Amino acid sequence: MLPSQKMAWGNVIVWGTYLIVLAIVLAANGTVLFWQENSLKNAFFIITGVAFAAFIIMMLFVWTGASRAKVTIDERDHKIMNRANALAGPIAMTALAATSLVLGLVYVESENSVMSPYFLMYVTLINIVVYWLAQAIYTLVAYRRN
Amino acid sequence: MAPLQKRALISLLMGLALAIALVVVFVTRDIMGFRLIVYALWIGVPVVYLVLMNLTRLSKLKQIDERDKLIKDRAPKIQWLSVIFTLVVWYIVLNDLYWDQGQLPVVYLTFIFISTLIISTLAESLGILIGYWRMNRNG
Repeated sequence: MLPSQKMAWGNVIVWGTYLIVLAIVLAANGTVLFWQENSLKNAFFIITGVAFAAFIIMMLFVWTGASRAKVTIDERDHKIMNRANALAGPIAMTALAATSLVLGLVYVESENSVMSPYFLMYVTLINIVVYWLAQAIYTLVAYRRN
Repeated sequence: MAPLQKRALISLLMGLALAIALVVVFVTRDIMGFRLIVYALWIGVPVVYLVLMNLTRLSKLKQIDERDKLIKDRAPKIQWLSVIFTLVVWYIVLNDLYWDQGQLPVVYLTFIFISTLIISTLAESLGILIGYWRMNRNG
């Protein structure tokens, strides 16, 4: 298996699990505005911290494995990575717009004239995670097709 | 100049004009029909982007070669990174300004989204132009 494939699998496992766990925690508490309760806020930061730590460990494993095996990246890999980036960008932007719209509607419904600073952190994080996931899924599909 | 390069340059100039318009609207918001102009920008930015980067490309498809495709495929990464940095900058600036209050006015949401759209459009055009510049420089 090539390093880019390993990284894609790692991304799917780490960030897919992250989104599922986060969805379960938020659904169990009945709100998407995690910053409104201290316990939920702590849970959010712990889940996010663990996911980032797992992501870094996974990257280190893939990089050290690739440098030991002296794997070379060819034109096909470059093409797949470029296509993956081209596809992941619009998907992440759509996720950003959708998250912003949903959270914006939550604010409008509650007739708030102020919002939490966590709002921006939330949409940025969702954008990053969706980008990595979309990129990883496309990479796996492209290698399978080839 | 390649068709894609020309389109990117026009898109960049249009994006800059819209960005300046946004700043002008923000500065003169008490004088002008603030909300209407903001709505016009909301619709204007994606329409300009769609026409310049997608619709007009269809008729010139035969003029796009492998080099153009390579540059076009690389640009979205720059575009995405620019969006992320825009959001991070907004987060830092607004947090710093409203640290004591602990809450931000909802009106900033509109500016954040419009600026993200504009930056996204500008970054793709800039990415394409940088791609051509680097390719011409390195051969």
